[in-house]
This record gives sequence, structure tokens and C-alpha cells, in this order.
Amino acid sequence: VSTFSLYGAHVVVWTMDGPALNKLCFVAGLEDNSLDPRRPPGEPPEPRFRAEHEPTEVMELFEAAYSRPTGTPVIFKTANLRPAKFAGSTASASTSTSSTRWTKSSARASRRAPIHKGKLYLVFYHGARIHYFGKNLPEVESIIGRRASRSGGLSEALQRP
Amino acid sequence: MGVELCSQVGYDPEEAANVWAHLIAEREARENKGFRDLIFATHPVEEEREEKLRGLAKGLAGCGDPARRGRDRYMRVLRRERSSFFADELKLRDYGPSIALFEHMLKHDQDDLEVAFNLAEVYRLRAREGDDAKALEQFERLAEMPGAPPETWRSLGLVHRARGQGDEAARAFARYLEAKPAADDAAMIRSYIGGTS
Repeated sequence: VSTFSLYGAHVVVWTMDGPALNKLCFVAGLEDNSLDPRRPPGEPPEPRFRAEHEPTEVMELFEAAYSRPTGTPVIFKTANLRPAKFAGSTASASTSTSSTRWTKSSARASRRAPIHKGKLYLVFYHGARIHYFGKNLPEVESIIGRRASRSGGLSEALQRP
Repeated sequence: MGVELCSQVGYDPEEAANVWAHLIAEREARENKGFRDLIFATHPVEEEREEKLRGLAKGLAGCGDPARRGRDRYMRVLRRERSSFFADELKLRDYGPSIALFEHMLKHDQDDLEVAFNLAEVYRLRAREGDDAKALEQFERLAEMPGAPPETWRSLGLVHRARGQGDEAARAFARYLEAKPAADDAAMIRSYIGGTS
């Protein structure tokens, strides 16, 4: 549905039922310690990726970043954070559930996050917990699996849907 | 009217002003002092509110009476929820106000291990020059105290690992897994031990 640049990273978003219900996001090359140059002064601080981050810290960053746009606190529960391989690079993988504290709307996410040459690469699937996450999960896992086994490197795996 | 009602029902009416004093302290600790929450943009500035409320409280029954504050009862009720509030606080990545908040809480109860852990977490996450030493000192102190969160060992391991202290990191991670063998990140932590020991 969209392609854009974020903190130096090339981002591609796919959806089957609309991004509010499910989306598969490919983020290629988030740069070390970068901030959005278009960010107006006076805005609250943003979580930043640092090249030396460990997978545990990438997970924390993901949770912090994902909690921000909702305007309401998000309760995150990350499960099974584990080492993985993605397109020849060492990566981490995990699944998580999240729900907003007040509205109780909830979602699930599945992600792989390799760091290569100081840049963060990320693929994650996010969807409403009721029906929409599970609906496309087998297909999404198949897509992620095919990309994870590509040998052309991370940019090739994540930038060319 | 709110201040008068607080006094009538048995609270210390000056606490309304103290709430604003805490908010001012957190605002002053913010690096980007230009940021002002939209919801307060059309309201009087915080100092005016504090001064006005303090003035209104003077002379009312119970003003400044610690017995009316009910802090202990409030903290007991809050204890069920506060871990998730602390997690939200850390996610803000607004380090100055978080440090001000946790230091203020520790002034009231320096034995509150969960608050001390979260203060150290702020330093670990901020990761500026010198922050790793502050975090390390706090995590090491907490790690030996019964009742400290098991995640203290994980964070201690992460700080050691960032400092290139592989053996110390591996020992800390092992203690974390010992305390929390079914942790959601156990597989990842085991991989750190494999890579650092």
C-alpha cells in the first residue's frame, strides 16, 4: 500500500484488509542514531536505534516505537525472543501481543530483525488479534521464510517485494 | 472548590499544589523544554497553578498535615498496576523527567527495589557517556538484594556486554536464567552466554 523513507530506511508496507487490520512491513536499513529531519521542534523525544544495540534492545525499541502513535498506553507482551537467520545475516525473531490500556483493542505481531553493518533491518507482520492476524499468518510466514532464505543480502530481501 | 472539598473530606489540601510542583520538576528535567503538551496549551502555566492552589490551601483544615496524605495506602493500591506504569514511563524515552520521577520516589522510599531498578534502566536505555557506569553501579547493588526484579541480572548482563566484559555478562545472564528459566527471552539470553563466555 505504501513505500516511503524513514530515518534513512526504505520502508514497504503491504496489507490484505487495510493497514488498520493487518500489515506486513519491510524496513531496510534504519540508520544509527538517526532522527526524522522533518520532525518539528518542540516535539517529544523519539526512540532511536543505535548500531550497538543487542536484539533485546531492538525489541525494547520496537515496543517503545510501536506504543507511541496510539496516544494511549500500550501493554506489550513479547514472547519467544530468539536468535534467527535472515538472508544470511544473524537476526532475532519474536512474536508479541499488544493491547491498548483503555480501549482494550488488541493486536499480534511477528517479526525478524537482523542488524547488518550498523543498520537495522526489520520485517514484521501486525494484525488485529481477532480474526485478521491469523487469517493471513500462514501466507505471511511463507513470504518471510522465502525472504529469509534469499542469498542476495538484506537489501535485496527487503527492498524488492 | 476542589481544594476546599479535599480539605473537607480529610485530605491535605496542599497536595494539589504539590502535584503541580512534581510536574514542574519533571518539566524542568526535560531536555526539550519547548515541548508543552497540547492539552495544557490553553491553560495557565504550571507555576501559576501551583502558586494559586498553594494560596487557596493555606488556612484550610489539614493543610500540610502528613497524616492526611495517605501516601502509604495510595502506594499499596497502586502496587498492583505500577509495574506496567513504569514500563510505559520507560517507553517514553523522555529520560530527564523519568530520572526526576524515580529519584523523587526513592527519596520517599529508598528501599523500593522496583523503583531503583527502573531508575537504573533509564540510564541503561539513555546510554550516554557515563550512564553505563551509573546503571552498572545500581544493578550490581540491586543484584545482591533479595526481592530485586530478576530482570536486574539481565540488564546487568547487557551493560557488561556493552562494555566488552564478556565473562561478567555471561555470569549475570546465567543468574537471570536461573531466576527466570522460562523467561520469554530465554533463548536469546542463552545465545548471549554462548557468545560471551
